[in-house]
Amino acid sequence: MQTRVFPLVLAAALAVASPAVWTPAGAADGDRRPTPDLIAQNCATCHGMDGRVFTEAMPALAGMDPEDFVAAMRAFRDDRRPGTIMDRIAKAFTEDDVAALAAHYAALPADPLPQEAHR
Amino acid sequence: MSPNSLILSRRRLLAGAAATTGLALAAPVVRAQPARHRVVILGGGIGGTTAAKYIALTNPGVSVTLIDRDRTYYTCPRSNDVIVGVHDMRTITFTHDAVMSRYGVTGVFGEIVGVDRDRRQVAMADGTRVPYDRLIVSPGVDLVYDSVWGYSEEVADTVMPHGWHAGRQTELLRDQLKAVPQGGRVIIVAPPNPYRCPPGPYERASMMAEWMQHHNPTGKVLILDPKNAFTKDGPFKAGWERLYGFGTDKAVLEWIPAAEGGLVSAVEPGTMTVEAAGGRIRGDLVNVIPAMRAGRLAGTLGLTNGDGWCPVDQSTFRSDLAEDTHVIGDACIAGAMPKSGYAANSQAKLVAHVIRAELAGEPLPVPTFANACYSLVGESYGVSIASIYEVDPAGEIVNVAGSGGVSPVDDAPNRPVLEAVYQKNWHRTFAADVFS
Repeated sequence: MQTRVFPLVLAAALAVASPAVWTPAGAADGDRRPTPDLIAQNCATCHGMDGRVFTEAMPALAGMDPEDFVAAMRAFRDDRRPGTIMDRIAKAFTEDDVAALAAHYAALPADPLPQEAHR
Repeated sequence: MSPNSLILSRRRLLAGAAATTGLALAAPVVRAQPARHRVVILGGGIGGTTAAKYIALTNPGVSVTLIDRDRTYYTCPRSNDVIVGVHDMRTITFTHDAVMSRYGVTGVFGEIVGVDRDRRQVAMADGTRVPYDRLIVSPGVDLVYDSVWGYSEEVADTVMPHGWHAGRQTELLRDQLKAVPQGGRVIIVAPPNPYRCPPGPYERASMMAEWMQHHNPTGKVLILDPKNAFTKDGPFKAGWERLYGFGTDKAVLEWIPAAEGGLVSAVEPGTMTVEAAGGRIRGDLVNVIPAMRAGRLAGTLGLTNGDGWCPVDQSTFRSDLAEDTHVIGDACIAGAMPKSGYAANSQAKLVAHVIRAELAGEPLPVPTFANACYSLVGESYGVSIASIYEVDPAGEIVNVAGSGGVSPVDDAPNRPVLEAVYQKNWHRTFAADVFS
């Protein structure tokens, strides 16, 4: 009995941590992918370090609900949500990448970083 | 032997000794830390400053030193806005102070004269020596003045500015634009590939054309180009048609490609004349953007190939020509990545992860890079390009298939307006990511 319950619990825990555990779109089994930490550092250029900068145009990502994050990336990828460049960027990542990014940002504090030094 | 392998082999040796003697990890030998890995960054522009910040953030035990001639840096992004007076110099002026104080980066400001590779020291003009285990070189670009006959640094500093290193050159162009007489002509001599900021000349021409419409309505802007195509040329030309009558006899802005005689071989500063393949033409403002190569420092340090650029392993940005040296930014050869500040920033972040993996003895990171660029066709009309890159099995940086590209040319009236809003927001977040 125990052996049957455990995988169910594990599956439920995984589902909470990353709501989109799908088959990767582009990556074959065993392919190493860039870490969410490195991918996220490239997002920082527009969305702020750790996704913690707010502007009129670009939303902060830190603390974002992971399901919303995944839904937004899928909508950009599938051209269902208009964007300036996110529609072109979202197409570059596998669903596993996006799930890992969603978990990465969900775990970060949602308060904005100070930006006073940049002028 | 690299310092990393030295550290690793020392660790392996210690682990092996502990195992053979059956000792637990208790001895003071194990507790003693290896000497801090010393990363020294040459060049405090966008690539170098990002490297300083992100190497320090990603590698808390590493000592990071940033060396530059100047304490102040002027970003080329948005400098075209300054030329037409949308913003003043403060918008593009930054210092290294925040990166130094927040992330424990040591700043050294002065002239670099060379690197003593045997002693692993950077030699400064004042006699100081800065020791390193690993160098990150981010020297930017050098302008090849003699690629246009008659052009020189002196001419650039007086009558025909290039405006391709922001700062004093930006102010010169701004002042000369204001001095163009009514009905006068601005000539922009575009550079050959490869060069820093591929859309830069076309954004500049656009911003100047808009300025003309407001302040000098009978004036014209003429681009003379040694190329027949340029980045984002589809959306740029669509914007020019909408805003500046491009392609009509009332055009404020004209673009002469190589096929129509746009290649400029010489300038005559005394008469403000440009010698193009299609004929001689006089300008009231002549902005010459000459050919480029890696920043002078790269040549001094022996990091350049015969073409003047720095070959690197595109998965780690380690120089092909020098040990313990990474080259990032405009100076390096980075496959499909353009020579842009965003690309330099992205490369710096990968190098921070390479250092972490190497010091920990872990597999190298799987590279991923980004580039995004918003250009203004007018103050409220933007166009963009965006790409995500990976390294292919041959070790070459390539665009991830099926992603990226330029703004679509369509009838969505809000798209260019939004892209212009994003351009302004992007510069703020980008500059913060680099300098704060």
